[in-house]
Amino acid sequence: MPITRRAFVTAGGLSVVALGVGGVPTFLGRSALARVADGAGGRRRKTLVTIFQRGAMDGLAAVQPIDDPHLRRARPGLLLRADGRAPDDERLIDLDGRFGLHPALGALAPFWRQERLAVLHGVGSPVATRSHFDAQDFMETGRPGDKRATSGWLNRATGLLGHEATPFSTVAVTPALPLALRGDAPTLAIADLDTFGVGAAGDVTDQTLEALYARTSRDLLTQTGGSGLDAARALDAARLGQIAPAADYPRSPLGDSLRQIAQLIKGDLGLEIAFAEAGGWDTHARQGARRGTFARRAQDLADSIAAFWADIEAYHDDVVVMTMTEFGRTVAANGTGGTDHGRASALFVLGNAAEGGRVWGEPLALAPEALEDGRDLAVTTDFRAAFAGVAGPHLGIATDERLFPGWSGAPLGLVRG
Amino acid sequence: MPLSLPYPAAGLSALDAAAFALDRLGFGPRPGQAARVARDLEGWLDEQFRPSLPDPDLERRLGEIRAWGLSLPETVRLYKQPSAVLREAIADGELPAGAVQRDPAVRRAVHARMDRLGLRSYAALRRELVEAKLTRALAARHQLRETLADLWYNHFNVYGAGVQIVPVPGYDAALRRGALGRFRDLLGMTARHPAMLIYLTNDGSHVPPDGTALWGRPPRRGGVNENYARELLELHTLGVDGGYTLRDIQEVARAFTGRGTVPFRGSPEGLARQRAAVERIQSRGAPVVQDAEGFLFRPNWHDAGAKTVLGRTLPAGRGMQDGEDVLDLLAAHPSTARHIAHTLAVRYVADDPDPRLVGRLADVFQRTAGDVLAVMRALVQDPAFWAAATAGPDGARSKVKTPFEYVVSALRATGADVRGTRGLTPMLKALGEPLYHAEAPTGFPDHAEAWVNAGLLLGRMDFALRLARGEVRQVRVDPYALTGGRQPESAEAALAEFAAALLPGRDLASTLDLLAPIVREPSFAERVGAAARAEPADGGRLDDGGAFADDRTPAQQAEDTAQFVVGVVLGAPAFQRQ
Repeated sequence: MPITRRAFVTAGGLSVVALGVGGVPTFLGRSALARVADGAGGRRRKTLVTIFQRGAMDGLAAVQPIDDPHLRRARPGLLLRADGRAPDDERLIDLDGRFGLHPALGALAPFWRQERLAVLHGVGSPVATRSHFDAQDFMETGRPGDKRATSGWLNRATGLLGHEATPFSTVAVTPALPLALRGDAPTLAIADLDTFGVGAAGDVTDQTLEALYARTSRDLLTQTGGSGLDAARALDAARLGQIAPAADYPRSPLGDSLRQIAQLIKGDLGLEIAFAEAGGWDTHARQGARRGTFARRAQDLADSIAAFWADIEAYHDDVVVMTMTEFGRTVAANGTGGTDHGRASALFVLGNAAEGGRVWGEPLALAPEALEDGRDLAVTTDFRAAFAGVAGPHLGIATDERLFPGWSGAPLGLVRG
Repeated sequence: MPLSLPYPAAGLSALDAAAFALDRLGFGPRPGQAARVARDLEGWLDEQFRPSLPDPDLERRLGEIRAWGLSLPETVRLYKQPSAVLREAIADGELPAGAVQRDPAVRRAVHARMDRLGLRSYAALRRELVEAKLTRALAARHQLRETLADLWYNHFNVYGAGVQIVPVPGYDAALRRGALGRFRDLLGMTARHPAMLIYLTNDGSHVPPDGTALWGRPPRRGGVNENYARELLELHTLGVDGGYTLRDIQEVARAFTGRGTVPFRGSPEGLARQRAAVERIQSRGAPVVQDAEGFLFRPNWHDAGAKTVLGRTLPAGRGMQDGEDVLDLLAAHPSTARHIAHTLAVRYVADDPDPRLVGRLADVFQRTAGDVLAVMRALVQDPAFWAAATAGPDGARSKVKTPFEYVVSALRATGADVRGTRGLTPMLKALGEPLYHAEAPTGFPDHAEAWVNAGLLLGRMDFALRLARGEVRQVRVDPYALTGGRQPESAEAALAEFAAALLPGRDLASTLDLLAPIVREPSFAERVGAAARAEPADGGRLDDGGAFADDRTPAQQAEDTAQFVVGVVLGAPAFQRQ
């Protein structure tokens, strides 16, 4: 019996059961799934890896305007120098004479030199909320200002891929399903790939669990249960446990998530959209310059991404990594050596297809009179222009109203198609 | 006034209603409990609505757990990181300079010193906290207090990472004590509790150098931090659309300047310096405020200028009263009534509650000046509450359990013998809810979208089967206790009996339909017996001192059908709902 895509994607157990297998047989496992996942039209499969930095990253600390007089007045304790007066380890990494990369992000610097890393400064939401939770929701639904929106932009992107999704098309390696992935298209959240699956139930996977969770599509529980079983089965067949990481990841939630995303990529499971998150960016106190709460998070981010990139060496032409954060932080330091909630921040795009080695965005207006509400860096690029400019060409999907309802802007050319 | 319970109008029998009340107001029925409560549901509810309920059995179980309810100064005295103990031992000359933790002999000496001095580590503190919370949820007669305590902790969430765990025992206990009281009291407690002030970084917020301090000169550097002020308005009281501006946030932040904690972090010298600074201003007559929980108000850090919050002017020069006035204003605000009513309706009725129900509860909140008990009494007399018993898909329950609710309800339903929580704690993390470790101020989510996804559901099935098979460390389940010792005659009979015992007061038809083919499958017993699981690998790491580290008993041979059937029922969709 020829194995069809359909067999893998139905939430109902019947089709898989009809194959007469309690799991995808190993001999079919990886190659069959890979074929399935190659999608329609023989287009080479691409993967977009997104990283949500929760808590609002200070873009002005990550990619600092060099020697800016306004910043020197507003946040002297949070700035680093780019010139020889700073010790090597505490010096900004000069990107283009205008901007310097925080040294804790040093693991990303080689990618900049190879023109694989693009920076976008001044990015954010057109809606000026400074609530983490509203701003995260708006960024995840891609519908700023619409609180009733329930589907995530990465879920809609999944629906636009132009072929049926496999269990592993769109995966979040997170403890709970992020809003960005919620919606009609099948997506998967995995708290921990190493223990994903049915564990004690491993021996009763087929009819037993299929039947349990594959009943009515009206019940949320059944919907996701079905695709989860397909996924668990496929995962089992792919023998991911035997795919060792080829890099040293930081021992952190983000490092763990990216390590597992690399496993899915290397397992040829059909991964097209991945989602990871990194917390702790809400640096209200003791943010620091070279050391402090910001530098620790930055180091983890850069080291995790660099390890991931080293780990997936054979896939560099097919993978793009994009970071995002709900907003930036106040231009001025607050009273406790940190920064409060602001407006625009920065994001990174890494990939062979990235228009790298360039700081994108409008010039930053940091004079006090130019600041939004007298305190914050104004948003000059709508985050949807950035997301569309990355996901559109990379995944080959439409970037019109279907991806971002109510948005008619132009995608920013951060990635080549 | 006697309660009037409109459950018959929702089509529920007394048993259905009792089971639903146990499911929703508590952590689910124990074996036989639904039938007992059904005989006097009003009596049970009256008991739940009492301000307190004697519970010697629970007190006995909690007796062993030392951390429970300790204030910050007490926790600081009794819990230390081994690295800090090592430094002290070196300072005392008990260990030589240059001794390091890596050396096993040093480690032993450090442990011996800790034992001698009655000290425990932060990892032990975290374990004790989780154990206390699980034990209470599991065993407390006052179930409503436990569900509300969980709700308030998430509402006023603090993240217990690293040293931030130290004030959490006192904080959690205070939230639980006030769970059924007045909202204003809870709010006031959190607004001066070290756990909150540290987590939302108010403890360093002070009048800027060019401002006017309430007493003496302002500090020479630094100034205001608006983190706490923002979440106070957005999450704790008015709600994000509650009608406030950025300016209000800034003014509220000024009103709370000076509220911090007694010095407890840093090197011994640094601590001595900080304490001396407080004593110095005190000796010179500064109106310093301190309490036993570890709160400290520094008058020289408070911005004495006038403030305007939500259109109300707070006169200059008043100190602590500024914050209290702001809390009064917020607690009495209609947006707060709506926000809290909505939060309660989400927990006890539906993920997306009817706005009319929220309006009714908000009216009660407003009328009673934020009396939580009064709102809860109104809730159980509201037809919308009882309708939620069958408002889910195909007449199922409207709400999906959080991982914590799921784990506790499974233990209660099976009458599990829980001797410790070492095996349960890692399960909570694997299912997505490592207690006391939600990083964002929103706490753990209370809606199905967050918890219903393939990975977590498979994790629940895994937990259910392991629990039934006795593979969760320190926990035993005896399936036959559920059937009065009788061995069901067939797999179908087992299914019918166990489903009825584990899911009392529910329409079982669809669950039985769903599970019957599974238990009829002739080979399942062998398959269960052959179960062997890949070694669990290292999971995602938290800054939790290893408290949630994996600690599972390896798979054993399955004994019989009963265990399998119990596991499958606990893993079934119906049991995921409450």
